[in-house]
Amino acid sequence: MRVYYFQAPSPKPRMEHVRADLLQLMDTKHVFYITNDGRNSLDVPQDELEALAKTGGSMLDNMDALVIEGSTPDADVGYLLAYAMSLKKPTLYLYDKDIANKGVLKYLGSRQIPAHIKVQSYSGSSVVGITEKYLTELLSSEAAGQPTIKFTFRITPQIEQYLQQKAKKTGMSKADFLRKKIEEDIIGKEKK
Amino acid sequence: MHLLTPAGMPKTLPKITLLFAGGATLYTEGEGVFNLRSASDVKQWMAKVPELSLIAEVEPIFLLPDGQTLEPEHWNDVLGIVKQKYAASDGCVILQGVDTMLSTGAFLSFALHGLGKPVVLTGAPVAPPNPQGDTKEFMSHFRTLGVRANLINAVQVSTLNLREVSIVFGNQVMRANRARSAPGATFNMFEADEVDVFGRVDFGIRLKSEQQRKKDPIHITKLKNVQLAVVSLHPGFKPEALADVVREKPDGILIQSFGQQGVPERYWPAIRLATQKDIPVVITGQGAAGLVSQPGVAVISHLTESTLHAKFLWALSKASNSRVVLDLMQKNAAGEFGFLYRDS
Repeated sequence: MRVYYFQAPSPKPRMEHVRADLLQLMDTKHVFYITNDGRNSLDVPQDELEALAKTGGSMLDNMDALVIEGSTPDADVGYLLAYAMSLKKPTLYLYDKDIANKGVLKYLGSRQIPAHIKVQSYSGSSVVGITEKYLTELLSSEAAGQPTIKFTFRITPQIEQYLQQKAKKTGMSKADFLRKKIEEDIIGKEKK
Repeated sequence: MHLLTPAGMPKTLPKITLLFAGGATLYTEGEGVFNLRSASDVKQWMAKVPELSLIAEVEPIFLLPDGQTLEPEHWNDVLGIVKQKYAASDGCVILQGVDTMLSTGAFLSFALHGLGKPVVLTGAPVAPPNPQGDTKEFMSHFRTLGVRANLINAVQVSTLNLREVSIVFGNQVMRANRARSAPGATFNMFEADEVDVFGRVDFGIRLKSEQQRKKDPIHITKLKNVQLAVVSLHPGFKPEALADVVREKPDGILIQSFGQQGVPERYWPAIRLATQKDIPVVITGQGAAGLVSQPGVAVISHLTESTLHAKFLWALSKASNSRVVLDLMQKNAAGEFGFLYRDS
């Protein structure tokens, strides 16, 4: 999976730690990233760059997701969010509760954006857990394809308790856990 | 749906004028095509592109419905709107059809004097009615055929430090009066020499160099009701036909010549007749580079066809004396000669 990571330059040292922690997380999860400050784990093949230049596409088109650390005001943040909305690109928008400019929240606070753009505030090191959960879900949905069919499924309290434990242990949602089990243990076995 | 909490946004957003001039066809996945037919559709159109409000405070102005071509007869309306909104806005984006975008862009580049902010032209890519082969693949490759991606890029460019009239299309930001149509079916429907590309779209939009904005008032040259005769010489074209054009006494004559020897001798009597009548004549074409300008006749070989035509209309609107008109035609006015006259 390819992720574009954006974080505006900040004089606050702790923001540098956020960047380092998130990039380390992506390395751990084998997520390829390109960042706005050139710390890339992905070398885009030359033929892909040439094809993009020729067809008129943008590099953002070829990313699977965006992760934006938006605590520091920057005009590019608005552009990236707008482009992500337009392309229906999965995006995690993060901001530090202690730094975020409340005046700006007031400015556009009631604007609705689509579900594929996830907005999350964080405090301190919680940014890693939030991002890890997001990436895990994304990797899982990438592997399985996006689930779109909805139906009601009643379960017992015991199953609910079991699912809660599993969700906590695996870092997946209960629904993702069940989908994975169905694919691997039922569909997968039948195919064999 | 989530509530947007744009903690990383600047305190105030730039103010941008968005002019609907016939190129706003919108494609929304699951909803299909939405054409802007009248001013009353603008609100609905804007509601379909809420993401614009993340980049700028956009003031929409309706001029032409989708499908109507922006012609020279509308250029003064465009100039009037740009001038009226100039002081209060940080930039202007003009949405128009692709067929006349090069001409509009070129004319605006000459007619807007002392431009201190970006004026950006863009529009919806035109999808062929029956895609075949490469075109079919091209169409299926992009999810957002329509104006959306171009528009977001254009609005972003209009917030940057660029004192030029530019065309933003596909992944390029180009000097409008140096752009030309690109071959093949891609999102880059226009192209320009590298020196005339201001910037490109990759993970954002980066300009090669920034130009400090200016707050000085802008001056405009409105298009006058001038008659410009455009004559395309070709083998078999009768000299009498050119003489007939001269006798109609147009305000100017643009001659597109052919061959490697400039203008064949048989046409020169008609050209001399024009100069005697004080009609400014501009000669262009592949062989024009070998000619030299002479009184009443300017030879220009480094402008695109659209730019030459637009510049001639601008020069005729700006001056009535044929010598002054030809002087204007030969001087760099807005970077239109490319690298040849970049420092003049």
